Amino acid sequence: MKASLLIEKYGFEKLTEASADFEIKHAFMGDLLSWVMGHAKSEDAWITILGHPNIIAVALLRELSCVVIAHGAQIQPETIEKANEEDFLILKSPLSAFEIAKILISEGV
Amino acid sequence: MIHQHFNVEKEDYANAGRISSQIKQMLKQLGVSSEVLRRIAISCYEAEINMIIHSYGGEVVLTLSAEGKCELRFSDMGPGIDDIEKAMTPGWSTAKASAREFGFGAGMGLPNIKRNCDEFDLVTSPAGTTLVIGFKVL
Ligand SMILES: Nc1ncnc2c1ncn2[C@@H]1O[C@H](COP(=O)(O)OP(=O)(O)O)[C@@H](O)[C@H]1O
Ligand SMILES: [Mg+2]
Repeated sequence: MKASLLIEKYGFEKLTEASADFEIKHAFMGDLLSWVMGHAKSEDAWITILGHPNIIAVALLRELSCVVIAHGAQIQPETIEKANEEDFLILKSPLSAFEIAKILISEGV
Repeated sequence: MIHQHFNVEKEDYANAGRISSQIKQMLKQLGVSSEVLRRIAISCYEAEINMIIHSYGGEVVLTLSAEGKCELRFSDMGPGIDDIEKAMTPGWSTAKASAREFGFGAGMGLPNIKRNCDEFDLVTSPAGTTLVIGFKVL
């Protein structure tokens, strides 16, 4: 599915300026940085509740496609700033990680 | 031959991962394959984070030899690792609550490094820990 569909059809909030006009092919759920570092695949969409700027470092190092903040979790302004500097997409939704995963699956991810 | 130093400050969470990003960028420009880059990025990040969250600070030295070997040396000023065997056990961590809140402290760092590098050497004492990891990059 297109990342932009999460915004247009499911009302996810777009927190950064980066384009959402790309295909989400697979995803990873996790809130422990070492697990994401060790197990995520390149171009995964990363569903997490972490909002610290370190998520951007991890996402870029592992070449993930975007971050989706679940549960409407708090995200620090520095994280958004850093993502904008790197032209990286962050979306946010009040839904749980599981509900977000269900949407992705229902859209063919 | 390339030789480069980076300083790591204790508890500098704001810059965590910066050195790893710089090193990855540099190696990418030199044409290192994405498979090797991925392994270096994972290992370097974990080692950099360990210095930030567990040590009193130190430095990272990158050496790239003409023979195509990349060596990363992480040396800090203490307090050292009490029990290396435990430290190498997946899931074992002494990370403080403050670090865990940021998603650190899964206890997977050293095992991740070991799994992803070609050479691994860890020496520790209360005066400091030195981790040297090597990768065949060319
Ligand atoms: N540079 C270091 N200085 C002191 N202790 C360290 C260092 N690196 C690792 N350790 C110790 O080894 C443990 C395991 O490290 P690691 O596998 O990276 O897990 P984590 O960092 O998530 O705790 C740490 O919890 C810590 O006790
Ligand atoms: Mg660690």
